[in-house]
Amino acid sequence: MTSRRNRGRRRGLLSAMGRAAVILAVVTVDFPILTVVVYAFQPNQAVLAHHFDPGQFTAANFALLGQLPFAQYVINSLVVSAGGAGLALAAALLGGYALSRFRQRALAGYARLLLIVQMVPVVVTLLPLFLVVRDLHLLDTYIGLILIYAALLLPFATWIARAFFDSIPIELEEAAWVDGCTRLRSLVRVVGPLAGPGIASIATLSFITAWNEYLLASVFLTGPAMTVSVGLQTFTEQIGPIGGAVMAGSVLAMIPSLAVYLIFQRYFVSGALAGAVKG
Amino acid sequence: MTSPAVSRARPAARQQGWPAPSRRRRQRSLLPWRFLAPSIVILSLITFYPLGYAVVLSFRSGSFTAPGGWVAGRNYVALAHNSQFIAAVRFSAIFTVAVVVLSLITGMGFALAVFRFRRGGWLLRMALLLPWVVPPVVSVLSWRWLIADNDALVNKLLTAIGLGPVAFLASPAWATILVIAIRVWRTSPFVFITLLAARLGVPDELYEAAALDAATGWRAWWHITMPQLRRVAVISSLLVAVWSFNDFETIFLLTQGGPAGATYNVVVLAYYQAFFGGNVGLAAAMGVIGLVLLLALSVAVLRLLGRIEKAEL
Repeated sequence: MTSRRNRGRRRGLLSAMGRAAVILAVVTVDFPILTVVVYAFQPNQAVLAHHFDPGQFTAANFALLGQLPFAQYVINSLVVSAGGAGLALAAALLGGYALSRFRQRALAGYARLLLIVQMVPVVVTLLPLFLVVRDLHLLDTYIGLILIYAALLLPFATWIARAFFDSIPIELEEAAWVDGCTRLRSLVRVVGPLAGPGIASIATLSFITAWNEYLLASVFLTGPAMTVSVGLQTFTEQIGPIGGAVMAGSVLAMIPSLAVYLIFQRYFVSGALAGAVKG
Repeated sequence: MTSPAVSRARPAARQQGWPAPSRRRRQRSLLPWRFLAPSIVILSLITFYPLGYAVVLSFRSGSFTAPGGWVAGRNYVALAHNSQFIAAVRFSAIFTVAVVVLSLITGMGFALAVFRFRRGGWLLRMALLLPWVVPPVVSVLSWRWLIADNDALVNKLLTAIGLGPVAFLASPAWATILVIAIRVWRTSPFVFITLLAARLGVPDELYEAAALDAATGWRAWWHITMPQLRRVAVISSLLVAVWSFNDFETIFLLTQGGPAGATYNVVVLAYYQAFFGGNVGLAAAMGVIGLVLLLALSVAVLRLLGRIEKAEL
Protein backbone atom coordinates (compact mmCIF):
# COMPACT_ATOMS: atom_id res chain seq x y z
CA MET A 1 0.00 0.00 0.00
CA THR A 2 2.81 2.44 0.83
CA SER A 3 4.55 1.69 -2.44
CA ARG A 4 1.33 2.52 -4.19
CA ARG A 5 1.17 5.90 -2.52
CA ASN A 6 4.79 6.58 -3.49
CA ARG A 7 4.03 5.62 -7.01
CA GLY A 8 1.07 7.98 -7.02
CA ARG A 9 3.31 10.80 -5.96
CA ARG A 10 5.94 9.98 -8.53
CA ARG A 11 3.85 9.19 -11.57
CA GLY A 12 3.12 12.18 -13.78
CA LEU A 13 -0.29 13.48 -12.79
CA LEU A 14 -2.60 15.33 -15.13
CA SER A 15 -3.04 19.09 -15.13
CA ALA A 16 -6.43 20.55 -14.23
CA MET A 17 -7.20 20.99 -17.93
CA GLY A 18 -6.24 17.40 -18.66
CA ARG A 19 -8.41 16.13 -15.82
CA ALA A 20 -11.37 18.17 -17.03
CA ALA A 21 -10.95 16.77 -20.55
CA VAL A 22 -10.83 13.18 -19.30
CA ILE A 23 -13.87 13.69 -17.07
CA LEU A 24 -15.78 15.22 -19.99
CA ALA A 25 -14.83 12.25 -22.17
CA VAL A 26 -16.04 9.80 -19.52
CA VAL A 27 -19.37 11.62 -19.20
CA THR A 28 -19.72 11.50 -22.99
CA VAL A 29 -19.16 7.75 -22.90
CA ASP A 30 -21.99 7.33 -20.40
CA PHE A 31 -24.25 9.82 -22.18
CA PRO A 32 -26.52 7.28 -23.95
CA ILE A 33 -27.14 5.49 -20.64
CA LEU A 34 -27.78 8.77 -18.83
CA THR A 35 -30.34 9.90 -21.42
CA VAL A 36 -32.30 6.68 -20.96
CA VAL A 37 -32.38 7.21 -17.20
CA VAL A 38 -33.46 10.86 -17.54
CA TYR A 39 -36.15 10.19 -20.15
CA ALA A 40 -37.60 7.30 -18.13
CA PHE A 41 -38.91 10.03 -15.82
CA GLN A 42 -40.23 12.32 -18.56
CA PRO A 43 -43.89 12.28 -19.69
CA ASN A 44 -44.61 9.92 -22.58
CA GLN A 45 -45.31 12.75 -25.05
CA ALA A 46 -41.97 14.36 -24.21
CA VAL A 47 -40.25 11.05 -24.90
CA LEU A 48 -42.03 10.56 -28.22
CA ALA A 49 -41.24 14.13 -29.29
CA HIS A 50 -37.59 13.89 -28.12
CA HIS A 51 -38.38 16.87 -25.99
CA PHE A 52 -36.79 17.51 -22.62
CA ASP A 53 -38.86 19.30 -20.00
CA PRO A 54 -36.94 19.96 -16.76
CA GLY A 55 -40.11 20.88 -14.84
CA GLN A 56 -41.96 17.66 -15.67
CA PHE A 57 -40.44 14.72 -13.88
CA THR A 58 -42.92 11.88 -13.39
CA ALA A 59 -43.04 8.17 -12.58
CA ALA A 60 -46.01 7.61 -14.91
CA ASN A 61 -43.93 5.49 -17.31
CA PHE A 62 -43.28 2.98 -14.57
CA ALA A 63 -47.00 2.81 -13.79
CA LEU A 64 -47.64 2.14 -17.48
CA LEU A 65 -45.22 -0.81 -17.30
CA GLY A 66 -47.53 -2.27 -14.65
CA GLN A 67 -50.19 -2.73 -17.33
CA LEU A 68 -47.75 -4.73 -19.45
CA PRO A 69 -46.49 -8.19 -18.42
CA PHE A 70 -43.16 -6.64 -17.50
CA ALA A 71 -43.04 -7.94 -13.92
CA GLN A 72 -43.42 -11.47 -15.26
CA TYR A 73 -40.47 -10.89 -17.63
CA VAL A 74 -38.36 -9.71 -14.71
CA ILE A 75 -39.19 -12.88 -12.78
CA ASN A 76 -38.37 -15.01 -15.84
CA SER A 77 -35.02 -13.28 -16.27
CA LEU A 78 -34.14 -13.61 -12.60
CA VAL A 79 -34.94 -17.33 -12.58
CA VAL A 80 -32.97 -18.24 -15.70
CA SER A 81 -30.01 -15.95 -14.91
CA ALA A 82 -29.67 -17.10 -11.31
CA GLY A 83 -30.34 -20.72 -12.29
CA GLY A 84 -27.88 -20.69 -15.19
CA ALA A 85 -25.20 -18.88 -13.18
CA GLY A 86 -25.71 -21.20 -10.19
CA LEU A 87 -25.47 -24.36 -12.27
CA ALA A 88 -22.41 -23.05 -14.15
CA LEU A 89 -20.78 -22.08 -10.87
CA ALA A 90 -21.30 -25.51 -9.29
CA ALA A 91 -20.05 -27.41 -12.35
CA ALA A 92 -17.15 -24.95 -12.89
CA LEU A 93 -15.95 -25.25 -9.29
CA LEU A 94 -15.79 -29.04 -9.55
CA GLY A 95 -14.23 -28.90 -13.02
CA GLY A 96 -11.80 -26.10 -12.17
CA TYR A 97 -10.69 -28.05 -9.10
CA ALA A 98 -9.95 -31.11 -11.22
CA LEU A 99 -8.01 -29.07 -13.79
CA SER A 100 -6.00 -27.34 -11.06
CA ARG A 101 -5.16 -30.30 -8.82
CA PHE A 102 -4.58 -33.16 -11.23
CA ARG A 103 -2.00 -33.52 -13.97
CA GLN A 104 -3.03 -35.57 -16.96
CA ARG A 105 -2.48 -35.12 -20.64
CA ALA A 106 -6.19 -35.54 -21.34
CA LEU A 107 -7.04 -32.86 -18.76
CA ALA A 108 -4.78 -30.34 -20.49
CA GLY A 109 -6.50 -31.23 -23.74
CA TYR A 110 -9.88 -30.69 -22.13
CA ALA A 111 -8.80 -27.26 -20.88
CA ARG A 112 -7.74 -26.32 -24.41
CA LEU A 113 -11.02 -27.64 -25.78
CA LEU A 114 -12.84 -25.22 -23.46
CA LEU A 115 -10.96 -22.32 -25.08
CA ILE A 116 -12.00 -23.47 -28.53
CA VAL A 117 -15.61 -23.90 -27.41
CA GLN A 118 -15.60 -20.26 -26.40
CA MET A 119 -15.01 -19.28 -30.02
CA VAL A 120 -17.94 -21.23 -31.42
CA PRO A 121 -20.51 -18.73 -32.68
CA VAL A 122 -23.83 -19.34 -30.94
CA VAL A 123 -25.53 -19.31 -34.34
CA VAL A 124 -23.70 -22.46 -35.47
CA THR A 125 -25.16 -24.63 -32.74
CA LEU A 126 -28.48 -22.78 -32.53
CA LEU A 127 -30.45 -24.91 -34.98
CA PRO A 128 -29.30 -28.37 -33.86
CA LEU A 129 -29.70 -27.15 -30.29
CA PHE A 130 -33.27 -26.17 -31.07
CA LEU A 131 -33.94 -29.76 -32.20
CA VAL A 132 -32.33 -31.18 -29.05
CA VAL A 133 -34.31 -28.92 -26.74
CA ARG A 134 -37.52 -29.66 -28.65
CA ASP A 135 -36.98 -33.42 -28.41
CA LEU A 136 -36.43 -33.09 -24.67
CA HIS A 137 -39.71 -31.10 -24.47
CA LEU A 138 -37.83 -28.21 -22.88
CA LEU A 139 -38.82 -25.43 -25.28
CA ASP A 140 -40.27 -22.43 -23.40
CA THR A 141 -39.27 -23.90 -20.06
CA TYR A 142 -36.94 -22.37 -17.50
CA ILE A 143 -34.93 -25.59 -17.25
CA GLY A 144 -34.17 -25.54 -20.97
CA LEU A 145 -32.64 -22.06 -20.93
CA ILE A 146 -30.94 -22.67 -17.57
CA LEU A 147 -29.09 -25.67 -19.07
CA ILE A 148 -28.18 -23.64 -22.16
CA TYR A 149 -26.88 -20.72 -20.09
CA ALA A 150 -24.88 -23.10 -17.91
CA ALA A 151 -23.17 -24.44 -21.04
CA LEU A 152 -22.61 -20.92 -22.36
CA LEU A 153 -21.00 -19.79 -19.10
CA LEU A 154 -19.07 -22.97 -18.24
CA PRO A 155 -15.90 -22.48 -20.32
CA PHE A 156 -14.83 -19.14 -18.88
CA ALA A 157 -16.21 -19.97 -15.43
CA THR A 158 -14.06 -23.11 -15.38
CA TRP A 159 -10.96 -21.15 -16.43
CA ILE A 160 -11.50 -18.61 -13.67
CA ALA A 161 -12.13 -21.36 -11.10
CA ARG A 162 -8.94 -23.10 -12.14
CA ALA A 163 -6.93 -19.87 -11.80
CA PHE A 164 -8.28 -19.32 -8.29
CA PHE A 165 -7.65 -22.90 -7.17
CA ASP A 166 -4.10 -22.60 -8.49
CA SER A 167 -3.59 -19.77 -5.98
CA ILE A 168 -4.67 -21.91 -2.99
CA PRO A 169 -1.81 -24.06 -1.62
CA ILE A 170 -2.45 -27.79 -1.77
CA GLU A 171 -0.76 -28.32 1.64
CA LEU A 172 -3.93 -27.10 3.36
CA GLU A 173 -5.87 -29.89 1.74
CA GLU A 174 -3.23 -32.52 2.48
CA ALA A 175 -3.67 -31.88 6.18
CA ALA A 176 -7.38 -32.57 5.77
CA TRP A 177 -6.74 -35.79 3.84
CA VAL A 178 -4.56 -37.06 6.66
CA ASP A 179 -7.49 -36.44 8.96
CA GLY A 180 -9.61 -38.65 6.74
CA CYS A 181 -11.35 -36.20 4.46
CA THR A 182 -12.25 -37.28 0.95
CA ARG A 183 -11.29 -35.11 -2.01
CA LEU A 184 -14.81 -33.79 -2.29
CA ARG A 185 -15.09 -32.99 1.40
CA SER A 186 -11.72 -31.23 1.48
CA LEU A 187 -12.87 -29.19 -1.51
CA VAL A 188 -16.03 -28.12 0.31
CA ARG A 189 -14.65 -27.71 3.84
CA VAL A 190 -11.06 -26.52 3.33
CA VAL A 191 -10.85 -24.91 -0.11
CA GLY A 192 -14.42 -23.62 -0.23
CA PRO A 193 -14.08 -20.93 2.44
CA LEU A 194 -10.81 -19.71 0.85
CA ALA A 195 -12.30 -19.64 -2.64
CA GLY A 196 -14.85 -17.00 -1.64
CA PRO A 197 -13.42 -14.28 -3.92
CA GLY A 198 -13.21 -16.74 -6.81
CA ILE A 199 -16.79 -17.85 -6.27
CA ALA A 200 -17.91 -14.21 -6.13
CA SER A 201 -16.07 -13.45 -9.38
CA ILE A 202 -17.59 -16.36 -11.26
CA ALA A 203 -21.07 -15.73 -9.87
CA THR A 204 -21.12 -12.02 -10.73
CA LEU A 205 -19.66 -12.42 -14.24
CA SER A 206 -22.00 -15.32 -14.96
CA PHE A 207 -25.11 -13.62 -13.65
CA ILE A 208 -24.50 -10.42 -15.60
CA THR A 209 -23.70 -12.32 -18.81
CA ALA A 210 -26.86 -14.40 -18.49
CA TRP A 211 -29.05 -11.42 -17.56
CA ASN A 212 -27.80 -9.47 -20.60
CA GLU A 213 -28.10 -12.33 -23.11
CA TYR A 214 -30.55 -11.83 -25.97
CA LEU A 215 -30.22 -14.32 -28.85
CA LEU A 216 -30.65 -17.62 -27.00
CA ALA A 217 -33.41 -16.20 -24.83
CA SER A 218 -35.30 -15.00 -27.90
CA VAL A 219 -35.29 -18.50 -29.38
CA PHE A 220 -35.85 -20.70 -26.33
CA LEU A 221 -38.22 -18.66 -24.16
CA THR A 222 -41.19 -17.14 -25.97
CA GLY A 223 -44.63 -15.89 -24.99
CA PRO A 224 -45.21 -15.26 -21.30
CA ALA A 225 -41.89 -16.94 -20.45
CA MET A 226 -39.86 -14.18 -22.21
CA THR A 227 -36.87 -12.58 -20.53
CA VAL A 228 -36.61 -8.84 -19.90
CA SER A 229 -34.30 -8.19 -22.87
CA VAL A 230 -36.57 -10.03 -25.30
CA GLY A 231 -39.70 -8.46 -23.83
CA LEU A 232 -38.21 -4.99 -24.11
CA GLN A 233 -37.34 -5.60 -27.75
CA THR A 234 -40.90 -6.71 -28.53
CA PHE A 235 -42.22 -3.57 -26.79
CA THR A 236 -40.14 -1.37 -29.08
CA GLU A 237 -41.63 -3.21 -32.04
CA GLN A 238 -45.22 -3.08 -30.76
CA ILE A 239 -45.49 0.39 -29.28
CA GLY A 240 -44.01 1.88 -32.41
CA PRO A 241 -41.50 4.64 -31.91
CA ILE A 242 -39.86 4.15 -28.54
CA GLY A 243 -42.15 5.36 -25.81
CA GLY A 244 -41.84 6.28 -22.18
CA ALA A 245 -42.66 2.74 -21.06
CA VAL A 246 -39.69 1.40 -23.00
CA MET A 247 -37.43 3.95 -21.32
CA ALA A 248 -38.74 2.94 -17.91
CA GLY A 249 -38.38 -0.75 -18.82
CA SER A 250 -34.79 -0.11 -19.95
CA VAL A 251 -33.96 1.40 -16.59
CA LEU A 252 -35.44 -1.60 -14.78
CA ALA A 253 -33.59 -3.96 -17.16
CA MET A 254 -30.28 -2.27 -16.32
CA ILE A 255 -30.74 -2.33 -12.56
CA PRO A 256 -29.87 -5.98 -11.78
CA SER A 257 -26.71 -5.91 -13.92
CA LEU A 258 -25.64 -2.54 -12.56
CA ALA A 259 -26.46 -3.45 -8.96
CA VAL A 260 -24.48 -6.69 -9.09
CA TYR A 261 -21.62 -4.88 -10.83
CA LEU A 262 -21.50 -1.97 -8.39
CA ILE A 263 -21.76 -4.14 -5.27
CA PHE A 264 -19.26 -6.77 -6.38
CA GLN A 265 -17.09 -4.53 -8.57
CA ARG A 266 -13.79 -5.84 -7.25
CA TYR A 267 -14.72 -9.48 -7.87
CA PHE A 268 -16.25 -8.75 -11.26
CA VAL A 269 -13.08 -7.02 -12.44
CA SER A 270 -10.69 -9.59 -10.98
CA GLY A 271 -12.68 -12.39 -12.61
CA ALA A 272 -12.59 -10.68 -15.98
CA LEU A 273 -8.85 -10.14 -15.63
CA ALA A 274 -8.22 -13.73 -14.58
CA GLY A 275 -10.13 -14.93 -17.62
CA ALA A 276 -8.28 -12.56 -19.94
CA VAL A 277 -4.75 -13.06 -18.71
CA LYS A 278 -4.95 -16.80 -18.25
CA GLY A 279 -6.69 -17.31 -21.56
CA MET B 1 0.52 -23.01 -10.66
CA THR B 2 2.50 -26.04 -9.55
CA SER B 3 0.55 -28.73 -7.86
CA PRO B 4 2.18 -31.89 -6.58
CA ALA B 5 1.79 -35.26 -8.19
CA VAL B 6 -1.47 -37.10 -7.82
CA SER B 7 0.22 -39.77 -5.69
CA ARG B 8 -0.11 -37.47 -2.71
CA ALA B 9 -3.78 -38.32 -2.66
CA ARG B 10 -2.96 -41.69 -1.13
CA PRO B 11 -4.12 -40.97 2.44
CA ALA B 12 -7.56 -40.14 1.14
CA ALA B 13 -7.72 -43.30 -0.92
CA ARG B 14 -6.76 -45.43 2.06
CA GLN B 15 -9.42 -43.84 4.19
CA GLN B 16 -12.06 -44.71 1.68
CA GLY B 17 -11.01 -48.32 1.94
CA TRP B 18 -10.72 -49.18 -1.72
CA PRO B 19 -9.91 -52.88 -2.05
CA ALA B 20 -6.95 -53.68 -4.27
CA PRO B 21 -3.97 -51.47 -5.15
CA SER B 22 -4.44 -51.93 -8.89
CA ARG B 23 -8.07 -50.90 -8.69
CA ARG B 24 -7.09 -47.99 -6.55
CA ARG B 25 -4.66 -46.63 -9.10
CA ARG B 26 -7.27 -46.83 -11.82
CA GLN B 27 -9.81 -45.10 -9.62
CA ARG B 28 -7.39 -42.36 -8.90
CA SER B 29 -6.71 -41.59 -12.52
CA LEU B 30 -10.43 -41.43 -13.11
CA LEU B 31 -11.06 -39.20 -10.10
CA PRO B 32 -10.62 -35.83 -11.90
CA TRP B 33 -13.08 -36.99 -14.53
CA ARG B 34 -15.67 -37.57 -11.86
CA PHE B 35 -15.25 -33.93 -10.85
CA LEU B 36 -15.61 -32.97 -14.49
CA ALA B 37 -18.66 -35.15 -15.08
CA PRO B 38 -21.30 -32.44 -14.55
CA SER B 39 -19.47 -30.08 -16.94
CA ILE B 40 -19.05 -32.77 -19.55
CA VAL B 41 -22.70 -33.82 -19.39
CA ILE B 42 -23.92 -30.23 -19.81
CA LEU B 43 -21.43 -29.34 -22.55
CA SER B 44 -22.03 -32.58 -24.46
CA LEU B 45 -25.76 -32.01 -24.57
CA ILE B 46 -25.75 -28.26 -25.28
CA THR B 47 -22.49 -27.67 -27.15
CA PHE B 48 -20.60 -30.71 -28.44
CA TYR B 49 -23.49 -32.73 -29.83
CA PRO B 50 -25.15 -29.73 -31.56
CA LEU B 51 -21.76 -28.64 -32.92
CA GLY B 52 -21.12 -32.09 -34.40
CA TYR B 53 -24.67 -32.09 -35.75
CA ALA B 54 -24.06 -28.69 -37.37
CA VAL B 55 -20.93 -30.01 -39.11
CA VAL B 56 -22.95 -32.98 -40.41
CA LEU B 57 -25.74 -30.67 -41.55
CA SER B 58 -23.26 -28.57 -43.49
CA PHE B 59 -22.77 -31.55 -45.82
CA ARG B 60 -26.48 -32.06 -46.39
CA SER B 61 -29.20 -30.28 -48.26
CA GLY B 62 -32.80 -29.64 -47.30
CA SER B 63 -34.70 -27.38 -44.94
CA PHE B 64 -35.39 -27.25 -41.25
CA THR B 65 -38.53 -29.39 -41.47
CA ALA B 66 -37.59 -31.57 -44.46
CA PRO B 67 -33.96 -32.72 -44.28
CA GLY B 68 -32.47 -33.73 -47.60
CA GLY B 69 -29.67 -36.02 -48.67
CA TRP B 70 -25.88 -35.82 -48.69
CA VAL B 71 -24.40 -33.24 -51.02
CA ALA B 72 -20.76 -33.72 -49.98
CA GLY B 73 -18.95 -30.37 -50.22
CA ARG B 74 -21.47 -28.72 -52.49
CA ASN B 75 -22.71 -26.28 -49.81
CA TYR B 76 -19.17 -25.00 -49.38
CA VAL B 77 -18.65 -24.71 -53.13
CA ALA B 78 -21.94 -22.84 -53.41
CA LEU B 79 -20.83 -20.38 -50.71
CA ALA B 80 -17.62 -19.63 -52.57
CA HIS B 81 -19.79 -18.30 -55.41
CA ASN B 82 -22.47 -16.71 -53.20
CA SER B 83 -22.01 -12.93 -53.48
CA GLN B 84 -24.10 -12.28 -50.35
CA PHE B 85 -21.91 -14.60 -48.28
CA ILE B 86 -18.71 -13.12 -49.69
CA ALA B 87 -20.01 -9.65 -48.82
CA ALA B 88 -20.81 -10.88 -45.29
CA VAL B 89 -17.29 -12.29 -44.85
CA ARG B 90 -15.86 -8.97 -46.03
CA PHE B 91 -18.14 -7.09 -43.63
CA SER B 92 -17.15 -9.37 -40.73
CA ALA B 93 -13.48 -8.74 -41.49
CA ILE B 94 -13.88 -4.96 -41.71
CA PHE B 95 -16.08 -4.90 -38.61
CA THR B 96 -13.66 -7.04 -36.57
CA VAL B 97 -10.52 -5.14 -37.58
CA ALA B 98 -12.17 -1.75 -37.01
CA VAL B 99 -13.56 -2.74 -33.61
CA VAL B 100 -10.25 -4.23 -32.45
CA VAL B 101 -8.19 -1.22 -33.53
CA LEU B 102 -10.59 1.42 -32.21
CA SER B 103 -11.20 -0.45 -28.93
CA LEU B 104 -7.46 -0.71 -28.44
CA ILE B 105 -6.90 2.99 -29.10
CA THR B 106 -9.74 4.20 -26.84
CA GLY B 107 -9.05 1.56 -24.19
CA MET B 108 -5.34 2.45 -24.12
CA GLY B 109 -6.09 6.18 -24.05
CA PHE B 110 -8.49 5.91 -21.13
CA ALA B 111 -6.23 3.48 -19.25
CA LEU B 112 -3.21 5.78 -19.45
CA ALA B 113 -5.34 8.85 -18.64
CA VAL B 114 -7.11 7.31 -15.64
CA PHE B 115 -3.76 5.99 -14.40
CA ARG B 116 -2.61 9.61 -14.06
CA PHE B 117 -5.43 10.58 -11.69
CA ARG B 118 -4.46 10.91 -8.06
CA ARG B 119 -7.96 10.95 -6.64
CA GLY B 120 -11.29 9.95 -8.14
CA GLY B 121 -9.69 7.43 -10.51
CA TRP B 122 -11.93 4.71 -9.07
CA LEU B 123 -15.02 6.72 -9.95
CA LEU B 124 -13.88 7.17 -13.55
CA ARG B 125 -13.04 3.48 -13.76
CA MET B 126 -16.51 2.59 -12.51
CA ALA B 127 -18.19 4.97 -14.97
CA LEU B 128 -16.10 3.73 -17.90
CA LEU B 129 -17.09 0.12 -17.36
CA LEU B 130 -20.83 0.85 -17.53
CA PRO B 131 -21.26 0.35 -21.32
CA TRP B 132 -19.81 -3.13 -20.89
CA VAL B 133 -22.25 -4.05 -18.10
CA VAL B 134 -25.50 -2.68 -19.56
CA PRO B 135 -27.67 -5.22 -21.47
CA PRO B 136 -27.05 -4.91 -25.24
CA VAL B 137 -30.77 -4.45 -25.88
CA VAL B 138 -30.70 -1.32 -23.73
CA SER B 139 -27.45 -0.02 -25.26
CA VAL B 140 -28.69 -0.37 -28.81
CA LEU B 141 -32.05 1.13 -27.86
CA SER B 142 -30.40 4.15 -26.25
CA TRP B 143 -28.13 4.76 -29.24
CA ARG B 144 -30.96 4.32 -31.69
CA TRP B 145 -33.03 6.80 -29.73
CA LEU B 146 -30.22 9.35 -29.96
CA ILE B 147 -29.79 9.05 -33.74
CA ALA B 148 -32.66 7.30 -35.49
CA ASP B 149 -35.40 9.91 -36.02
CA ASN B 150 -35.26 13.28 -37.72
CA ASP B 151 -35.93 14.94 -34.38
CA ALA B 152 -33.58 12.69 -32.40
CA LEU B 153 -31.06 14.50 -30.23
CA VAL B 154 -28.07 14.12 -32.54
CA ASN B 155 -30.15 15.22 -35.53
CA LYS B 156 -31.43 18.24 -33.59
CA LEU B 157 -27.82 19.23 -32.97
CA LEU B 158 -26.88 18.65 -36.60
CA THR B 159 -29.86 20.69 -37.75
CA ALA B 160 -28.93 23.50 -35.38
CA ILE B 161 -25.47 23.79 -36.95
CA GLY B 162 -26.90 23.39 -40.43
CA LEU B 163 -25.67 19.87 -41.23
CA GLY B 164 -28.70 17.73 -40.68
CA PRO B 165 -30.85 15.88 -40.26
CA VAL B 166 -29.10 12.72 -41.43
CA ALA B 167 -31.02 9.48 -42.00
CA PHE B 168 -28.29 7.45 -40.33
CA LEU B 169 -29.92 4.02 -40.51
CA ALA B 170 -30.98 4.41 -44.17
CA SER B 171 -27.43 4.94 -45.37
CA PRO B 172 -25.19 1.86 -45.76
CA ALA B 173 -22.07 3.83 -44.86
CA TRP B 174 -23.57 5.43 -41.76
CA ALA B 175 -25.17 2.16 -40.64
CA THR B 176 -21.77 0.46 -40.89
CA ILE B 177 -20.09 3.25 -38.94
CA LEU B 178 -22.79 3.08 -36.26
CA VAL B 179 -22.68 -0.67 -35.64
CA ILE B 180 -18.89 -0.38 -35.37
CA ALA B 181 -19.21 2.60 -32.99
CA ILE B 182 -21.68 0.82 -30.72
CA ARG B 183 -19.57 -2.32 -30.64
CA VAL B 184 -16.46 -0.26 -29.80
CA TRP B 185 -18.48 1.50 -27.11
CA ARG B 186 -19.41 -1.88 -25.63
CA THR B 187 -15.97 -3.57 -25.82
CA SER B 188 -13.40 -0.82 -25.20
CA PRO B 189 -14.22 -0.82 -21.44
CA PHE B 190 -12.87 -4.37 -21.31
CA VAL B 191 -9.65 -3.36 -23.08
CA PHE B 192 -9.44 -0.33 -20.79
CA ILE B 193 -9.65 -2.34 -17.58
CA THR B 194 -7.15 -5.02 -18.66
CA LEU B 195 -4.65 -2.37 -19.80
CA LEU B 196 -5.14 -0.30 -16.64
CA ALA B 197 -4.41 -3.38 -14.52
CA ALA B 198 -1.34 -4.12 -16.64
CA ARG B 199 -0.13 -0.50 -16.40
CA LEU B 200 -0.46 -0.58 -12.61
CA GLY B 201 1.86 -3.58 -12.67
CA VAL B 202 4.70 -1.82 -14.52
CA PRO B 203 7.45 -0.89 -12.01
CA ASP B 204 8.25 2.83 -11.77
CA GLU B 205 11.95 2.02 -11.71
CA LEU B 206 11.80 1.37 -15.45
CA TYR B 207 10.65 4.94 -16.08
CA GLU B 208 13.20 6.38 -13.67
CA ALA B 209 16.00 4.54 -15.44
CA ALA B 210 14.68 5.72 -18.80
CA ALA B 211 14.44 9.31 -17.56
CA LEU B 212 18.20 9.22 -16.93
CA ASP B 213 18.59 8.46 -20.63
CA ALA B 214 16.30 11.40 -21.37
CA ALA B 215 13.54 9.03 -22.52
CA THR B 216 10.31 10.64 -21.35
CA GLY B 217 6.88 11.32 -22.79
CA TRP B 218 6.30 9.61 -26.11
CA ARG B 219 9.68 7.90 -26.13
CA ALA B 220 9.04 6.41 -22.69
CA TRP B 221 5.64 5.27 -23.92
CA TRP B 222 7.12 3.62 -26.99
CA HIS B 223 10.12 2.00 -25.29
CA ILE B 224 8.65 1.04 -21.91
CA THR B 225 4.85 1.24 -21.73
CA MET B 226 4.18 -0.47 -25.06
CA PRO B 227 6.48 -3.49 -24.59
CA GLN B 228 5.24 -3.94 -21.00
CA LEU B 229 1.58 -3.84 -21.99
CA ARG B 230 1.98 -5.76 -25.24
CA ARG B 231 1.07 -9.22 -23.99
CA VAL B 232 -2.12 -8.08 -22.25
CA ALA B 233 -3.01 -5.83 -25.20
CA VAL B 234 -2.67 -8.72 -27.67
CA ILE B 235 -4.66 -11.19 -25.59
CA SER B 236 -7.49 -8.81 -24.79
CA SER B 237 -7.57 -7.70 -28.44
CA LEU B 238 -7.86 -11.34 -29.46
CA LEU B 239 -10.87 -11.70 -27.16
CA VAL B 240 -12.36 -8.54 -28.63
CA ALA B 241 -11.80 -9.97 -32.10
CA VAL B 242 -13.63 -13.18 -31.20
CA TRP B 243 -16.55 -11.26 -29.69
CA SER B 244 -16.75 -8.88 -32.63
CA PHE B 245 -16.58 -11.58 -35.26
CA ASN B 246 -19.33 -13.48 -33.42
CA ASP B 247 -21.36 -10.35 -32.69
CA PHE B 248 -25.03 -10.93 -33.28
CA GLU B 249 -26.81 -8.53 -30.93
CA THR B 250 -25.39 -5.16 -31.99
CA ILE B 251 -26.08 -5.72 -35.68
CA PHE B 252 -29.34 -7.62 -35.36
CA LEU B 253 -30.88 -5.15 -32.92
CA LEU B 254 -29.74 -2.00 -34.72
CA THR B 255 -29.98 -2.75 -38.44
CA GLN B 256 -31.12 -6.39 -38.91
CA GLY B 257 -28.36 -6.54 -41.52
CA GLY B 258 -29.78 -3.62 -43.48
CA PRO B 259 -30.06 -1.21 -45.14
CA ALA B 260 -30.08 -3.26 -48.36
CA GLY B 261 -27.96 -5.99 -46.73
CA ALA B 262 -25.06 -3.58 -46.11
CA THR B 263 -24.42 -4.73 -42.52
CA TYR B 264 -24.84 -8.51 -42.75
CA ASN B 265 -21.99 -10.25 -41.01
CA VAL B 266 -21.45 -14.02 -41.26
CA VAL B 267 -23.31 -14.71 -38.03
CA VAL B 268 -26.42 -12.64 -38.78
CA LEU B 269 -26.57 -13.97 -42.34
CA ALA B 270 -26.34 -17.55 -41.06
CA TYR B 271 -29.15 -16.83 -38.58
CA TYR B 272 -31.49 -15.60 -41.33
CA GLN B 273 -30.48 -18.43 -43.63
CA ALA B 274 -31.12 -21.02 -40.90
CA PHE B 275 -34.49 -19.81 -39.67
CA PHE B 276 -35.96 -18.04 -42.71
CA GLY B 277 -33.84 -19.01 -45.71
CA GLY B 278 -35.00 -22.61 -45.90
CA ASN B 279 -31.52 -24.02 -46.51
CA VAL B 280 -30.19 -25.40 -43.26
CA GLY B 281 -27.10 -27.01 -44.78
CA LEU B 282 -25.98 -23.72 -46.29
CA ALA B 283 -26.47 -21.92 -42.96
CA ALA B 284 -24.48 -24.60 -41.12
CA ALA B 285 -21.68 -24.35 -43.66
CA MET B 286 -21.54 -20.56 -43.11
CA GLY B 287 -21.18 -21.08 -39.37
CA VAL B 288 -18.50 -23.74 -39.79
CA ILE B 289 -16.47 -21.48 -42.11
CA GLY B 290 -16.78 -18.67 -39.53
CA LEU B 291 -15.50 -20.94 -36.76
CA VAL B 292 -12.56 -22.14 -38.88
CA LEU B 293 -11.60 -18.54 -39.73
CA LEU B 294 -11.67 -17.61 -36.02
CA LEU B 295 -9.58 -20.60 -34.98
CA ALA B 296 -7.02 -19.82 -37.69
CA LEU B 297 -6.84 -16.19 -36.52
CA SER B 298 -6.39 -17.21 -32.87
CA VAL B 299 -3.66 -19.73 -33.59
CA ALA B 300 -1.85 -17.23 -35.84
CA VAL B 301 -2.01 -14.43 -33.26
CA LEU B 302 -0.87 -16.61 -30.35
CA ARG B 303 1.99 -18.09 -32.45
CA LEU B 304 3.11 -14.59 -33.45
CA LEU B 305 3.00 -13.40 -29.84
CA GLY B 306 5.02 -16.43 -28.73
CA ARG B 307 7.60 -15.85 -31.46
CA ILE B 308 8.01 -12.16 -30.61
CA GLU B 309 8.43 -12.93 -26.93
CA LYS B 310 10.95 -15.66 -27.67
CA ALA B 311 12.93 -13.38 -29.98
CA GLU B 312 13.31 -10.86 -27.17
CA LEU B 313 14.64 -13.28 -24.60
